[in-house]
Order: sequence, then structure tokens, then C-alpha cells
Amino acid sequence: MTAVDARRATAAIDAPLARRWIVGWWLAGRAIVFVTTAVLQLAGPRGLIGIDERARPAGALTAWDGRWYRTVAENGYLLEPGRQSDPAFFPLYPILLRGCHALGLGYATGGVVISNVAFLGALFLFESLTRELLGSATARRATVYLALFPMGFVFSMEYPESIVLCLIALAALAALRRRWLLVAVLAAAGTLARPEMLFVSLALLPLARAERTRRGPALGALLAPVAALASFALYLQVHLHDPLAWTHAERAWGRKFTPLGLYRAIESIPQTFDGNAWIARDIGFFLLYVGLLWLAYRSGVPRSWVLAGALIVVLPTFSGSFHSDARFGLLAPAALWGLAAAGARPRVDAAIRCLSAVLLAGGTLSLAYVFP
Amino acid sequence: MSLLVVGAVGASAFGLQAAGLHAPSPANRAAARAASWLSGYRYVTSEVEAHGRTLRGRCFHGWFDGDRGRREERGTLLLLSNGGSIRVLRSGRILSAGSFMPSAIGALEVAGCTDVLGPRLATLAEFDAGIRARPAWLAGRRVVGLHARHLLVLVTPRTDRPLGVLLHGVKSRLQLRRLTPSLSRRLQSG
Repeated sequence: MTAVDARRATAAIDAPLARRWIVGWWLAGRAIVFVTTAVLQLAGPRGLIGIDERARPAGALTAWDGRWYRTVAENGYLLEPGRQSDPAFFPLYPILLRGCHALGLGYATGGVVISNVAFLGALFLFESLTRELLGSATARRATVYLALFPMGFVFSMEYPESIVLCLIALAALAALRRRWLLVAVLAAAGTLARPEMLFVSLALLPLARAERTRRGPALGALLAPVAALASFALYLQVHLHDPLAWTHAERAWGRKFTPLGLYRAIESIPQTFDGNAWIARDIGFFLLYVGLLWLAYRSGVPRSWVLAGALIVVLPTFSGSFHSDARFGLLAPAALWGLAAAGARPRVDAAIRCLSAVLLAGGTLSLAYVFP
Repeated sequence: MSLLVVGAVGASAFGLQAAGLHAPSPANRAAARAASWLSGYRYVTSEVEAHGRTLRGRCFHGWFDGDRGRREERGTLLLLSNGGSIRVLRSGRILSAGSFMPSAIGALEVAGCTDVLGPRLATLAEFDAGIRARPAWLAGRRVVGLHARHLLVLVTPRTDRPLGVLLHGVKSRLQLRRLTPSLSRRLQSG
């Protein structure tokens, strides 16, 4: 081994060791989520969580959409016109659940393990990405905020968000290193988990435009999410004879994209609030995300990332509903960067950490009543 | 080069889905189609064989006059030839008189009430991988029996239109019917 090789090897070992504080914050955040879930299971309200989910440890983390992802993993896709059915849920996460099941883990246990391990990876990758774009101080704050973010209990649930966040950060790091074929694979995988990955291509567009020698692969990488989405449509066509089955299934949840969707969403707030007052949480987070993206823009976050974040937060409301926008915004890194900009002063930083931890516990408790 | 990347990624993504997911069983598909049939109708007539006697049932989903002259209610109404009736109101309240089964919901399922049997079949199709499809006979006609736990739904072989139900030893033959305005008025008045 040469001296250079030895230095590289040492650096490779030192880098994760120097960032072991991330593991500490991951543990702290997940401890809040799991302890609160245990309290919810043992002494909490019966709420709306199914009996079978209450019967297993941390069952609340496998409730709501988790049940649908398990159904796809167990039974495959089945479209039931006019009723809520599973093609609304993208295929990568169920495929991973099936992989875990093949290793001997139950679907629900496998889902919780995948999500929490992926979230640890996502924190490391998010820190690396933020450090490269905005410096180490911002990276540290943003990563701590992500670990404690009030809606961050979703990263421990049987939901694909932690996987997608991992893939977003990894794809962006690969793009910064001009490894476009890897970007293509990661972006496609992310799109097979959540459609928000499509907008990440927009964030990477300036890097691709700056590319001088590998323009073809760079353009291919940016179009890879579209190819992945097309492959999902083809799969649905082959098995359900309906390439748009996922959008048709979404309609049973009251989601239908129209140009006036945002207007409909705002107009229907009073009726929605009458039916389910929890919509106030999603509207609150929508406004928070918009504010944070504005702060991100003002603090010098690359505009392409702010624009991608805005699309991730605002576009779902064009389906005529604010439902779940609090969760969708978790995949907008620029919102976290805006929060990190707000927390530059030590007192504000401490306040954000404390408030986030309290709200994270509260958010976890809300699982008894409302889907994230 | 970019088209090559896009093509390779798309093909790999399709391959991943094809290899990583499995297709639902024919029985689950048939149950989903049967549920879809039921969702297209609000009225069904039935012949129910229970405890050695045959009853005729008419089941309607929609608005009907409320109990004891109260204002109109929305829900499911089953009228039986023995004078009995079962009403399921939107509030979840069930009013049952002269039912042929201890469970009112079970009776509505056997009678093929579209807004009761349909969601039950849809849920089974979506979440129960244990449904089995086996050949069966109904009045000398070859049909398909969809076997779920305690419930057997008989459907036509190719179109999966529901033809009958067997639940806890009580069996029925069903006829999905279009609701005419005059029939609707008669049913609404109970």
C-alpha cells in the first residue's frame, strides 16, 4: 500500500467516525418515536388504528398506508374501480418488503427495519450533500433538524419516505461527482418509490447543463425518472390492463389533478375541516414549508433545489386536497436548509431543537387518529 | 447515448417490477370483478333457502322512508317475502325484523345487497390472499365458486357476475336488476 492509498483509507475510516454524532441524533429522534409509539400502544386511545396493528409491538408505525404497501407485497396489484385500491402505491417499497420477507422477516417488521436503517443512511448522505452545497455548520444544523423534524416519525413508519430521501441525497452526491449512470439508476429507483423523485431531476439540471464531456449520460440521468414512471405504467398495463391505474386508484382517495386543483383545495377547506379537523396540520405544514423555502432562497440555497422543493410541496395541492402535504414536504431538502438558515443563532437553534422534539412526540401520538 | 440510458433504465425498472412483485391470484381478480359488478347496481332480488324454507328478498340501496314515519333515510333496505325487513342506515344503525339469520349483516350479504356484499367482496379481493376459485354448480349450470372464510360467492365463469351466496349454511340465488323510477318510488315508501 502506498502512502497515498494509506491516507485515503484512513480518511475513509475517519470520515464516518468524525460524523458519529449523526448516529446519536438518529438514536435520539428514533427513541422519541419508539417510546411514544410504545406509550400509544400500551395506554393510548384506541383511535383508528386496526386491531391487528395494535396487536404487534410498534404496530402504529405499520398502520395507515403501511397496510397498503404490505398488501402489494403480499398479493400484488389489484385495481378496484371506484374503490380505494393498491395501484396508488408505488412498487419499490413493496419489492423491498418482499426481499426482507424472503430473508425471514415479517412484512411489518421488515418495513420498520428498512425504514429506520434507511433513515440513518439518509441522515449521513443528507449531511454530506448539505456540507458540499452549504458548508459544515449548516449541514450539522440541518441534519439535527431532520433527525428531530416533527413529521419525521414517518421515517420510522412502513412508508417509503426514508428510502426516497436516501436516494435523493445519493443521486445528488453522484451528480456532484459527475457519475451520471449512477444518478440514472438512483433517480429511477427513487421514482419507483415515490413520484416526488421526478422533481429532483430539476434540482440536478444545472449540474447536467454544466457538463461538457458527458452530456448524453447526464441528459439520460435526468430523464431516467420518466423512464421509470413509464415502466410502472407498462407494468400496470400488462397486469391490470390500465396504464394509468395509479392515478385512477388515487381518485378513490379524492385526488384528481386539475389546473384549478389548488383553488379547489382552498375552497373546500371549511368542509374538509368539518369532516376532519386534522387537515389544519397539513395546511399549517404547507405554509411552514413555503416559508422555509423562501428562507432557503434568501439564504443562498441553489435555486434549482428551491424550485424542486416548491414543486414537491405545492404540486400535490393541485389534486384538490392538502391531505398529507405535511408528509410530502419531508422530501424537499431545501425546506430543511431554510430551517437551518433560520437556526443560525444559537438561541433559535436551541428553540428549534426543543420544539421539534416535543412536536415529534406529538406527531407520533397523532397516528392514533390521522394518517400522515 | 441519452436514449440508450433511458431505454436501459426503463427496461431494468420493468424487469425489477416483473421479478419483484407477484400478480394477484385469478380468484382475487374474480372477486374484484364481482365487487365491481355489484357497485354498478342498487337493486337485487334473491331467493334465499334457509332452514328448509324459501324466502324471496328485494334489496335496495338509496333513500327510503324512515322508521315509523320519520324523515327519509339513506342506506340499505331488504324486504323479505315473509314480511320481515332489515334496514341499515348511513349512521350504522341496523333495524331488523323477521330476519332469516341471527346476523343482520350476514342476511344482507346472503341477499346480495349491493352496498353490503360489494364492499365485503372488494375488501376480500384486496386483502385476503386466501380466496380460492373452484368449479361449482348452480341450478344445473356450471359456475365458479369464490371461497373465502365462511363465505362462498358463486359467479359466472367468464364475466364474474355474482349469481349466488352461501354463508353459514344459508344459500341464495341472486339477480342484479336495473332500478326503474316507478320501482324506486315503491321501494322508497318501504
